[in-house]
Amino acid sequence: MSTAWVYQPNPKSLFKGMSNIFMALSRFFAAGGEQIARTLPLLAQACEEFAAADTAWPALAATLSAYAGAAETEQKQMGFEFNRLFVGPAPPIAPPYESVHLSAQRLVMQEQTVAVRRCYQAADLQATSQGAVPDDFIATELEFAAYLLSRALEENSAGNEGNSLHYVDFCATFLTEHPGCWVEPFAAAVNQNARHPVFPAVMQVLLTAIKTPLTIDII
Amino acid sequence: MLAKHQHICPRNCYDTCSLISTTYNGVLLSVEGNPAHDYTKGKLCPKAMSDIQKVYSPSRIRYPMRQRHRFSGDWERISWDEALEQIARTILRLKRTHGSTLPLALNKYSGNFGALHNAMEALFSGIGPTTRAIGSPCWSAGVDAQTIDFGRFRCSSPLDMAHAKLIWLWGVNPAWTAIHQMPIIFDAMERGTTVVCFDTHLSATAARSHRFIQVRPGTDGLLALAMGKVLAEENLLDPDLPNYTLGYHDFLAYLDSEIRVERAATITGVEADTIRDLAREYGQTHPACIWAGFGLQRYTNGGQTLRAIDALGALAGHIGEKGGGVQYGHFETWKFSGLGHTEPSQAKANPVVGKNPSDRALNINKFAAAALACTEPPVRMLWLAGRNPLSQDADLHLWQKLMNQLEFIVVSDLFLTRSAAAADIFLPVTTHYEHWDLHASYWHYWVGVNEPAIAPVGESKSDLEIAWRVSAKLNELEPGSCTFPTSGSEKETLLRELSPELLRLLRLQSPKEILLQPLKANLPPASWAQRQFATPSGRFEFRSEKAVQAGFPALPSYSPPLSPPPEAPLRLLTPHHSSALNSQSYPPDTIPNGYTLYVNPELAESYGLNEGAPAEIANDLGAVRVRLAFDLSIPRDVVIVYQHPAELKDSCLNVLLRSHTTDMGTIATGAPGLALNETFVCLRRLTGSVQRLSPNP
Repeated sequence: MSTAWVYQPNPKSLFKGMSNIFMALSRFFAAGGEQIARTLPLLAQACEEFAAADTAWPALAATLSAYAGAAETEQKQMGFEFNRLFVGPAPPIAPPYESVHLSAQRLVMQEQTVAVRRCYQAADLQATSQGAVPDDFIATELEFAAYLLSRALEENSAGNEGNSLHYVDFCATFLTEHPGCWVEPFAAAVNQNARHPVFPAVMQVLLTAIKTPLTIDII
Repeated sequence: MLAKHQHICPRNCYDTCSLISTTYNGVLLSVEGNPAHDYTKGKLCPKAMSDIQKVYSPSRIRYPMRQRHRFSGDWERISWDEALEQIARTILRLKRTHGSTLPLALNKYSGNFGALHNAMEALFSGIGPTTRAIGSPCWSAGVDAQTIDFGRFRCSSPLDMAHAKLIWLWGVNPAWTAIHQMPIIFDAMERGTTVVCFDTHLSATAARSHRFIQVRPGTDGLLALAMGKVLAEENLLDPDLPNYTLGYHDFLAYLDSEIRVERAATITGVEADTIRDLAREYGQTHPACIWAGFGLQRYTNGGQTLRAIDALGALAGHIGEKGGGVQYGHFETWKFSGLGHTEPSQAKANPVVGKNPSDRALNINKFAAAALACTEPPVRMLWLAGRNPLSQDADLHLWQKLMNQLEFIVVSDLFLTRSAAAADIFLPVTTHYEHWDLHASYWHYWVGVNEPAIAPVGESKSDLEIAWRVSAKLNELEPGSCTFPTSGSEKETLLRELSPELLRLLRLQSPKEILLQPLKANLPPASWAQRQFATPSGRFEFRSEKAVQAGFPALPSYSPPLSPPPEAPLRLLTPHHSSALNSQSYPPDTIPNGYTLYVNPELAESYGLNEGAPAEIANDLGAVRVRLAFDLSIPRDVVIVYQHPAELKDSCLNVLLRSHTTDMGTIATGAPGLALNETFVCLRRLTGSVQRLSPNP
């Protein structure tokens, strides 16, 4: 475990805010297009609550809030578009699985999936849908990042700085080695093909979250 | 943890391969042929080798989906409970409204040939008399022909072909569509067997044979009859014919009065001397085996063609000899219990159809027209399972009309097919790596269990699970509305599918023994070895009263295929490709961009078209864009498109297809087959504006 870095200023706020955003993003992808009316406001709220801690978030929060208040018919269209982009039944534009973007054959359940599963196992976790849903489903990866940061926050709050550092490092490494390796092409596919502007906005939130530094490198 | 599992390839294919999968911690890693299976012998075709891509394709549908407006592409993901609720409420409402369950239609065929997939038929039988697609798009005419001639649909073990001194591969292309037969054929060739391939063009199999006989499409029956005449003229008939056949004098009289070798040569395109040479070789070589493929019976005279070939085999005395016979397929191991719904007589007659006697039966090949014509009561709901009619059927304009007119459409499948795009509700199904099943082959004698290797992908469910759940929901909403079970164990259900007759054939004391490994049925390797036939007379019947009762000529006889109309002078043939099966493509995500039309270069030249040129084939039903490729072996009045689901990216080839049916099919499969090879088109050059061309003088 590397120790060549230190906390960002105000780590509790960072861990809490980023954990909430990752969790809200996870719910957005997990719940599906039919639940956008519920999950989009939660994502907007998570961004808004974190807006005070980081200047990158207020504009994102405002954009999402505008879409979160869309009329019911537009919400329906967002749902259809969500399925066209991520679910099907037509071949999805941007399959939300790491191995589809990184494996040679562009399939689900490949070596990347197993590598992600090993990360969960290292944290004594197992995806509840293991086997049916690939472990490298974007919602599961983001939920895992949220979990690691929530544990970092807990340990930090309890004064267990070593344990907290472990979770932060684990999260940063996981984000770099997994979502960080594929969400850019994933987001690019969405941005190029989306027929509703809410999806590029969510991609912006996703990329900003993945790229947000959790620590300061001291080397 | 590494684990091995046994499977059976469920595709509608001769080989019905025994597979071994390897998983690691629940992830499917590899699929191999079973080395202990004496037909698969550890080898797989490109289709099965692409199975992992199929299972783990990102295009595979993982959740039940509902489409807001048919063909709109506006899909929402719904829970299984929502889907089942909507399906069950629609069924019950239609039943109340019409006072009948006949408005409910099921159209299911061979997307997966596993016995447990008959759960869909059983579910519909449990609801009541319903409207059913019956028959087969594939082999009906030939099955009837063999049923008439032999009394029963059976063939020798494919391994028996190794004993032949002469093999005729007639209208079959195993190098592409039954690859496990090729080593048997090659081994025989190495031991001195002569292999002759009869086809309309130089197939991959023809290229590997000693001799290629090019036959004009739809004239194979006449060729067989002409060779029969030569056998009679040159005293090459089996002297034992009077002891085991019926009507051979009548048949010989027919040959004598109606068949002229020179005339046959003109019609079939096979020179008279060649016909005589072939007949002599066939009559003088023992054992000699004919493998009659499905392609040659996909004509309006297809049944008669098979009867003529059967008769040729009998005249020469090859029926019943070890390494001989006329091989086409069999039902001998399809002795499933029928999930408690199928009449035993039906199960024996046709493993594909499990229909209830009170059902409204519609020919699968004319389904759209027939369903549109139903009025008392009309068809209101359609469930498609293991079928893709908007890609594969004829009369697509009628299908489109039917789809627009129906009140409710359910499609259960793996991918968004052209037909699934019409669904109101889409239900995701499991692959054979995710469920239990039981399989027999229509070519070899093996029967085996398919076991799940991995958990169902996403929320997909097996057809059996879906049927249980629909029944459960129906009974929840209206107790007693469906007699199909509401729950159960797939494994226990498959064990119950082993009927006492099948247990006897497999020499099993208990059904559970089948779980250990695939088993080969205890059937004689050479069919009809005792020359005791299952016909009413107990003889091979050249003259058949059964045929007469079904409205066919008593004797095998020649009737010409359809002739092309002047405005569509080219016959379109659509054989199977080595890497695709009907609308299933392997690997599943490698669908070609558009169709390739194979033509004779002289034909292309006469239209002023170069190789690779864009063009269009058309008839009065529609038009399809193609790109030209040359094949010197294709006759000038024939064009070929190998089957590929290019319709997912372009227009659908079957817009050109009218539902001409085969002459036979009603006896064994319930309805005539599809005369797929009686499709005619014209060729057009694609320029700025489409123009129809006539060949240059």
